[in-house]
Amino acid sequence: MEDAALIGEQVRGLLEFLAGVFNADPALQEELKGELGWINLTMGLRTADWSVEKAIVFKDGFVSVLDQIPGDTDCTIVYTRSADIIEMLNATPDESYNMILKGRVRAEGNIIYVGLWNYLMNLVVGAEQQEAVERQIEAHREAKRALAANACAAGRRERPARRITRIRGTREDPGVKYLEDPYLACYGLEDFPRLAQMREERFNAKCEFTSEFGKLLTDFHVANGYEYDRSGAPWDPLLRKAESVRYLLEKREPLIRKNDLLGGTWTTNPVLGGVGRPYSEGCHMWGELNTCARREYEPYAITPESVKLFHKYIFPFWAARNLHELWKSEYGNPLPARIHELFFAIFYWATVSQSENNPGFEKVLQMGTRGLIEKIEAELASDAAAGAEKKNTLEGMKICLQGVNSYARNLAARALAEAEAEADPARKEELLRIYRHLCKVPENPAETLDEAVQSIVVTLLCLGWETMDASISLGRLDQVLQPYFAAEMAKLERPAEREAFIRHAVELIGCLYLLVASRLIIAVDLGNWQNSGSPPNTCVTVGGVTPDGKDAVNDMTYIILKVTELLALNHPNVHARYKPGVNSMAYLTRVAGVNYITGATPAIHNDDAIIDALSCHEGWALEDIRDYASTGCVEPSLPGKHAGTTSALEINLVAPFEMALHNGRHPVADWALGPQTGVIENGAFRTFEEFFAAFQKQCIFMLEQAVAGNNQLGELFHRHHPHLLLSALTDGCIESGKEFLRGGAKYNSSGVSMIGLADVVDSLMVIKKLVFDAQAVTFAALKEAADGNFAGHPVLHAMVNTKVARFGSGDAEALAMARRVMRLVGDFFAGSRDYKGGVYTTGWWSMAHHVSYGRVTGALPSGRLAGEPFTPGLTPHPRASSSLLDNLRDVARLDHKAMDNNIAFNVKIVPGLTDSPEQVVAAMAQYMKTYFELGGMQLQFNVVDSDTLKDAMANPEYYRDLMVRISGYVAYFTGLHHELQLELVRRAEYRL
Amino acid sequence: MNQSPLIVEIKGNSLDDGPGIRSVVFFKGCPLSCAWCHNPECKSPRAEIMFDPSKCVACGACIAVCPRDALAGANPFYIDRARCDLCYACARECPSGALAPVGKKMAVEEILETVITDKPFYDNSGGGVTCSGGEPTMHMAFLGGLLEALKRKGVHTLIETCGLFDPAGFKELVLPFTDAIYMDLKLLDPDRHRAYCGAGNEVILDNLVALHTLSLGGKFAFLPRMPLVPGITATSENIAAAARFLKKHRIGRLQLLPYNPLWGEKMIKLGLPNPYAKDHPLMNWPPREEIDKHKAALTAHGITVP
Repeated sequence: MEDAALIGEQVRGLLEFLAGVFNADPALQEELKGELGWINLTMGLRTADWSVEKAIVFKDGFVSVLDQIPGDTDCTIVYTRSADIIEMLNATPDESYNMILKGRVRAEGNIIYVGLWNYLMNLVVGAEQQEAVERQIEAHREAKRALAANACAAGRRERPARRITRIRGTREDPGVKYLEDPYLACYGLEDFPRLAQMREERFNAKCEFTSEFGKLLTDFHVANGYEYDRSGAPWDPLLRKAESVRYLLEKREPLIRKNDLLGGTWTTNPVLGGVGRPYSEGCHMWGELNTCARREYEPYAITPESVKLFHKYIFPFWAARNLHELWKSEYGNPLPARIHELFFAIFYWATVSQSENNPGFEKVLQMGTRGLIEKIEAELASDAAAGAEKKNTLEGMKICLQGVNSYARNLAARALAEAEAEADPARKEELLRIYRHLCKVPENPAETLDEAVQSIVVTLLCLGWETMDASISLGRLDQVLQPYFAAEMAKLERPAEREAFIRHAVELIGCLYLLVASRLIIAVDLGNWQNSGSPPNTCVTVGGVTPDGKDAVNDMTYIILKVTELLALNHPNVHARYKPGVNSMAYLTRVAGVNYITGATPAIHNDDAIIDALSCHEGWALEDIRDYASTGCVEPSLPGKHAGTTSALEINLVAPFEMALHNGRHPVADWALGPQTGVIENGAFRTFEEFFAAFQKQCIFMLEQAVAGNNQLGELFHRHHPHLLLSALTDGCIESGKEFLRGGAKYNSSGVSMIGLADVVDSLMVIKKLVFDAQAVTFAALKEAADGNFAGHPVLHAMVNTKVARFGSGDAEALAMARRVMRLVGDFFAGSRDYKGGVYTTGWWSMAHHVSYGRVTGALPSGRLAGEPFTPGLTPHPRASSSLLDNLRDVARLDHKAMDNNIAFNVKIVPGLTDSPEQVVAAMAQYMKTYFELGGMQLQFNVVDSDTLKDAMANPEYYRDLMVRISGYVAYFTGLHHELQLELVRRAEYRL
Repeated sequence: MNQSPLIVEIKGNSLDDGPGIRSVVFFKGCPLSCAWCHNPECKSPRAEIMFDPSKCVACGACIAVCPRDALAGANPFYIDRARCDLCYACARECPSGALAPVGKKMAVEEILETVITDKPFYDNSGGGVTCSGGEPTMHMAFLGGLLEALKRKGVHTLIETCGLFDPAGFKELVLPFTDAIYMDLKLLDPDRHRAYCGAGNEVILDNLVALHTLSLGGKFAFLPRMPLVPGITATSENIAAAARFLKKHRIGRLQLLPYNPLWGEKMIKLGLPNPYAKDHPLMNWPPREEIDKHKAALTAHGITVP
């Protein structure tokens, strides 16, 4: 208690110091003057037991300190122990995130104000905070150097050599009409100086956190209101959102990137920028406005004008209107929101985005926005009985489509102006072509390949500005574009003309790739624990079968694969579909070849398995299922027909397992939130089945929270940010007059990813085999050893590590255990309904959550130590088997129906030094083919060895474009969080 | 030799022991005793025990169960192999797998069951099963039975052999079920062969020529291979002699196997003193140019080096 009193005095001293400085310094006073009035804040600081309690009040430019936290406090930071308050002050970013992740610090009230509090504190103690950052960077650099001390640096030479590998192919696919060598082996990046230069710019750029979006949106609502319209009447969100989207699209600056063949950019920074939506992810950046440029991971460029706009104008307007806070305020701080804020069990991605979908770009290409507007008007005219919802939904769609046309017109005007000012005649002609395309599309149907790609780009950008630009995917780009490519090729007679057009197609798709690669999701530093290095994951899907089941591989498939190889970018996230028995070995070998050359992309999917999994959904037509394309990390969705929101929930499966071990209490979060299912120390479980039942109970409890929270967020999103443009492009929404998030689409579902399968299955196996079958150890003794991180129990630790068969070893019982756990989860979700009336689909991929959730998980019966990462996706543990084939066979035998949101199965392979590229690629294709024929759903190869990764950690300058698959998404290795880098080094690697 | 050999290991997913993706069955026992043998655990046909100090957690459980007091930290290799009667009570007790038996009696059926699970991978890659060792032909009847069973299942078969076997028995029992033979050609000088490999090379060379001639009939593939052992086989004299021998018998190909020094670590686990110092050439990876040099010499003689 005396400690607490002492610390209370220290805290008071610090707060009084801050107050004094603010009250005395006019420059700091200036920071409290917002554009819309004084920036006021009442911030509480206390310990969980209230032994320390202080508050600081910023009110109309005057700052004071209180010994009691007043009732109307905006936000209170609660520390588990008094000493944590002091520790947090001196912590490096990673140390403070560790405290947050472990629940030693949490916030009550509006969490956005923690950001404002950090912003204000940083103005005074910024130098000390930056010192802590530098300390952390130096410590990591030191650790990396030590790790790499004995690593072979051959990767520095091998990788560039691999990058320029060119293998010729043969024409075997019936859909390939015009490419003599479908592998296009004659081209290297040097043949496309425009792409080479734009790629170089991308790698030299620091992402800019831009303020245009936030400013325009705030301008709109300051002038027109938010909750109420200008007349003072409550404003139907459908119309409010539509009007705001049109305003944004009309007013945003129409830009054409230097040398680009396509008009339009994501942000005011054409090379690399992020928007930072103030109603979702952007608001959380308040505390980092002045520090994000110098943080360790993914630092952002930000102009002083933008900092000022965000701090004084944008964030104050949205602080209480951002989705995270609205979730808490409108639903009475529900249990799911409290779970979300502690980071240990469920990440509700729906707090940020609902846009992981494949929009129907073909509708715009075929009908134009004009045709869509006509369709909407016809629907309005034909349904006299339409209610307010239908009328406003359709009206809203129309308003958004008008906004799209405005943006295209503004772009066209910009292109013409630039063309007139352009001195270089070749570039002038290109700009005039862009101008002509934009005068026509997307308002009218596209007729050429250039028009089609330009139309897609404008639509994609507008969708991004309407929704949140996460994972709006391009669908089956090869299927969408082949008709335009073929029509133009058919008109060309001379080989030289055809050759020139093929080159042009490569360049055009290259420009599309670079546009996709030109933006990031603005994320707080803490986000680097969860999805470090992740791009927004716009997916491109190629190959597979057509809706009527025929071979879909065509010329554009190979052109897109060529661009993937040449640019070797982590974004777009590229996916290749493969249908055993239909797609050719030439195609599969090409996919393997691109994977080998880029090291990490594309990911490969088995049509048989995915179509089988999706076919279990009642009412989903086979021809639509066959048209699936990837979104987000790996998830299938049906382009233009499906509201899939495929990465709504990212759930830690190990959390309910730990709660079953601790009678409903989560040990690291120190929170007794689950049902009481039995105390192991009291002999609660006499059989394995009794324990499994407890696990099942905790699991269902957690999954219920996931569904409840996601359904709240879906409703909330609809009420504040309905997706009307997306609705206009989705089958069913116009006819039903229902918005995308209201179940208007032809097909509806929400997607889940489960994290930690292998760790749970291996732990269950240890409990079953050692505790109950062999009775080699009591359950209580095993739990005690795990609770103590196996310290003092080397024998037991050795036993659990070596004596029990794991998932991925080929052991029938371990495989059956995996299937049982997956069925438990899959059955629950198949029986649940989302806010759109759709099913929940179950996936087994992990983003980087296998590292962040691992951090907040204690030691497990499987032998995994406290804080260590789980295995990524559903990849077996490296110790499961020394033979890759055991892994492949086990994963191939899982039940498709329990993984209808796909899996991420990572395999790290290392080519032998003496193998030729042809040999390596052939072997990769043979593994893929066999695994798929055995029933495997998805596979992703990282072609890199641990020594190269270690060398890259210590010498990043040689490896700035080294790509790795994390779990679903692809990242540039050198920019990854330190712990994620270590996890990649530790993954099992198999010599090819 | 007895009819049921010991199997040391069945290694799945091998890409280095023949075409495609393969499983390799390692037989225990070899008629040669090459100074550089990289599978020392496969030399003796008898059962053995291995101790891996890097896995040991020093719990002492093995010492407590050993009926012959053969285990002690003070022993040079932990196990006093003079006392040990291979009851394996210690290996059963060991929690970490540091103590483990070497060699397991396996029936043909059991081997078949293990390797057949990977058949889809063999089929798509042109792979199959490789019998290696040790020397698989030391157990001619058993080997023949295994190969026949594999062939009946449609699995491609390959044997890796040192070449020292009875040709009549081989032709009768093994050859009919073998799709490919990889045979070592180590040292051409019979005295050096005797000195480094523990036996003369006369039978080996005869067998090599005879099998090459038979292979021309197209029923099986045949590939002679030379392990490039620094200072022993990888000498200009030996390479030149090999080239002359091959040319004389119109054998156009010789594969060169790069030397791998890691066998030294296995010796310790077997309780065998390593005869070479750390800086000895046999304990180190040879330079890459070494292979290129010998390859060039063979090519100059008109021998193809795949």
